[in-house]
Amino acid sequence: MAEESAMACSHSDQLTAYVDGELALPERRELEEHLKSCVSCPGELAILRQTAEQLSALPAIEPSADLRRRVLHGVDASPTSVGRSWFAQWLTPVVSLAVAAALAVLIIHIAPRPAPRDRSLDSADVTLAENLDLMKDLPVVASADLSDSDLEVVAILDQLEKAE
Amino acid sequence: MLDPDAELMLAVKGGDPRAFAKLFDKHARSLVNFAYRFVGDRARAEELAQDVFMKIYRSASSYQPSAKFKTYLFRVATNHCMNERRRGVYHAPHESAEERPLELASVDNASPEQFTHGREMQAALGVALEALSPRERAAFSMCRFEGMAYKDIADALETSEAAVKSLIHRATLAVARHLEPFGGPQVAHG
Repeated sequence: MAEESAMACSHSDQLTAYVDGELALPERRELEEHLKSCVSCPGELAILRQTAEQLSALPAIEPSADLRRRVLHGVDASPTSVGRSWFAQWLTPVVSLAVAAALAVLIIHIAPRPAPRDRSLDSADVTLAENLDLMKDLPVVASADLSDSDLEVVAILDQLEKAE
Repeated sequence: MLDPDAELMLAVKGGDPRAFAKLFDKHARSLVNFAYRFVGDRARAEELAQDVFMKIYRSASSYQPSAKFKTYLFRVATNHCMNERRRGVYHAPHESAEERPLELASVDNASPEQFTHGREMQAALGVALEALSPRERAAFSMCRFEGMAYKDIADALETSEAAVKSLIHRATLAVARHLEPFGGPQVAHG
């Protein structure tokens, strides 16, 4: 098998994944076979292994005790829905629906509506009644086919006029 | 089957604040160190970690355990830290070992020489990280310091495993060059 140059080895980008145990079995076997003949990959592999070991031994920063206090205090003070029981969470949509329904009823009741009709007669109504009454006496009108309801209206208006 | 952290998060969603304290205790150190590798300042790293925890808490009511909790946590953290880098100016290298000794964990059994060596390496790592792209930095940190699988890193970065493989390989080689003075094989330059 021909040796490959240090700069051009196409297997180089597999090496870190190999160190990390992230290669599938066929890829791993292929790389291990390649390592037997490549002039650059074994050296690079050693560097990567060494670096991974160095880094894993590196000490970490320890968070301050104040951070814990701040976060847990923030949780206590957080205006969030978290912290409610399942019942409270279930209740929310029910309450929302109830509030929406109540609002709808309220709006219907307080919405501006047309003012009720004034049942008292104004002067125009009285004039109309008088005219209708007079017209009734005219021969043309008297012979006209007035319906019962027309005559009833005239009679009611007449009564109202007298009542005033 | 849900991972234990997802179970805790569901308990948070159900209103159990003690479950959130447990999640904090489990992940605070990882998150502070992850943020530190973006901003190089311990106090700012803690503020970023605090922001991330509060984001997680405030969105608990809509949490769905579709991925591992840690993946979800680091997705939020990566986005937050990248945004912070975009907003802020972080030209200064990470805190030097001389100027401001870090509060380091896992040093109980370390000799003074080992402790100093560790701090110097931490500073060299900080310089190396400055040269990486944000995505390389995030993928590298999740892999090297959190031991996360490439698949989970891909989920956190919302990219493919092949892309993650490439990001981690490039970043590890770049960091290796900066760690040469601390021993180990020579890295080919160029």
